[in-house]
Amino acid sequence: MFKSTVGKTFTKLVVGTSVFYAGGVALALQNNAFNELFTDNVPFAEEAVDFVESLTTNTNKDYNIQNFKKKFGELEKTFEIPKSGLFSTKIDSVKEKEEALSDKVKQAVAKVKDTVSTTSFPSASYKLPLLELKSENQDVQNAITEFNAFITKINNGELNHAIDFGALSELFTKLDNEIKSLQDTSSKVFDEKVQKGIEGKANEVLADFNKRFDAKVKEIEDHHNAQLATEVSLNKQVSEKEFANRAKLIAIDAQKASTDAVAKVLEEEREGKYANFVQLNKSLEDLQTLVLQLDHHLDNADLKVQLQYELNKIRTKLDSEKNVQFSQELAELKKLAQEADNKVIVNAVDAIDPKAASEGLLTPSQLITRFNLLAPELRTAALLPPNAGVLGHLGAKFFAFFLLSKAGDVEGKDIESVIARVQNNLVTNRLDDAVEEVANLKGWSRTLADDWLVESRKRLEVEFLVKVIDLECKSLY
Amino acid sequence: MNWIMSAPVTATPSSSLLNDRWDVVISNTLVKTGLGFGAGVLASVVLFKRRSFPVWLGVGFGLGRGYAEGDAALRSPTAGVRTVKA
Repeated sequence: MFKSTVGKTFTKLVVGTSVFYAGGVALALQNNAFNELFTDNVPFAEEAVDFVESLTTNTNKDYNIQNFKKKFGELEKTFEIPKSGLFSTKIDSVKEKEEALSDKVKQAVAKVKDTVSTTSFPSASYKLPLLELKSENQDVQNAITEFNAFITKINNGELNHAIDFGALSELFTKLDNEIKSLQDTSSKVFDEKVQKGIEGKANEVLADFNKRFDAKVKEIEDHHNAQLATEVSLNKQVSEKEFANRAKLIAIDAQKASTDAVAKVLEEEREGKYANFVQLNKSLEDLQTLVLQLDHHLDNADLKVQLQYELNKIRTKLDSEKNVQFSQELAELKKLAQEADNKVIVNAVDAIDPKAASEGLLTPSQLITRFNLLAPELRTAALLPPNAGVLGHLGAKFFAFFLLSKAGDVEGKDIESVIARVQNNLVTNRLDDAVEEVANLKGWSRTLADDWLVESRKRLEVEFLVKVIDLECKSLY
Repeated sequence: MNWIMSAPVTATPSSSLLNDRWDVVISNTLVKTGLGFGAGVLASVVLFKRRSFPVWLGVGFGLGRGYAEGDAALRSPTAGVRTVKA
């Protein structure tokens, strides 16, 4: 495009500058650190970056017409046109303005000069006022007359500087001394007056105080004397009454002592004669108490005998080899307990299942037989796997044949040990232990033994309650 | 023995719970086997010129059905057994 060297150089310079600024702006927009470096060190870099940023963020706030107006001022001026319209006026040229301005300056200077020339001091219109003070002191009055003469001179402009200032100074000195002496005299007179006034007032106050003090002292003395007289009379009355009371008290004591002595004599006399009757009365009272106690014991003993009798009948029926009902004996027992008002026996009788009493209980031998009948079922059930089907049940029945039975008080958790312990407990009449063993079985074994457990528990309950009633009967006394 | 006479009759004593189930299983198996045997005999006479294999097949079906139902009855107290309300 450019063939000359200058043109090529210019072109390279422009292109290089553009590339430098474009690259700088682009990098500055991406990197904050470079942005700071670029805008601080390169001329116009900040403006360029701001311009590009405003373009990219689409916020041209810095480059709208308002900002230009702020920067460069109003480019055009607006005028309000009045309703009456516009009137053309003559526009003075610059030269005419300069001439008018110089004329105004000249006029102002002349006016100042006139003012300066016409000003004189002192003016006839300024006059000092005269002192109109009338003093009793002759010296002060003379000084005021002289001072007024000076003021008159000043007002009339007749003041001779050389002579009058000296006289004026002397006059001021004199006036000063007079004022000082006058001040001293007046203060001395004032102090004397004050001192005299204070002394007079103090004397007056002191006299008044003395008078009032004397009056008050007399009043208090009179009051005290009157009070003293009243108290003395009252004390006298009190002491008289006290003496009278004491005399009466002594008389009463003497009368009481004589009465006691008479009563004592009478009592001794009576005890001497009727002493055996009192002893007899006491013995009779003791005998009555003893008889009542004996009667109570006899009643209790009779009740106890009857209770034991009914209880023995129940025990006999429980221990018999037959299932017999014992509800009648139970009713008798309850009746006797209610007569004796024994709540323990009544509650124990009520706790016995009426059905068990009316139907009877299984005897120990029956329980043993039933358990022996149940034992093969328990063996088979103990071998059943969980959720057993046909094969499980058949297998259990088959393998149950091979179980080796145990006997006696053997240890172990297997079914043969449990069966052996239960049988041993039943034979040795320990039904509670046997029930505990069976109740601890699990699964099908426990389910199959449920009826046996119910019957055994019925018997255990009745046996326990009968034991309770028996203990209560024994502790009746 | 008076108390035994007056005692109410319980539905099933706990000791014979398993035996009752076995009763149901065996009777059900017998019935199903019988039914299979009958069906086999009928099929043998009517369809297969009195040959023996339909009879064995029917018996096998009956036994299998009885085993399956019996297995279910032993595993669950209510499975496979119909209850009849009296």
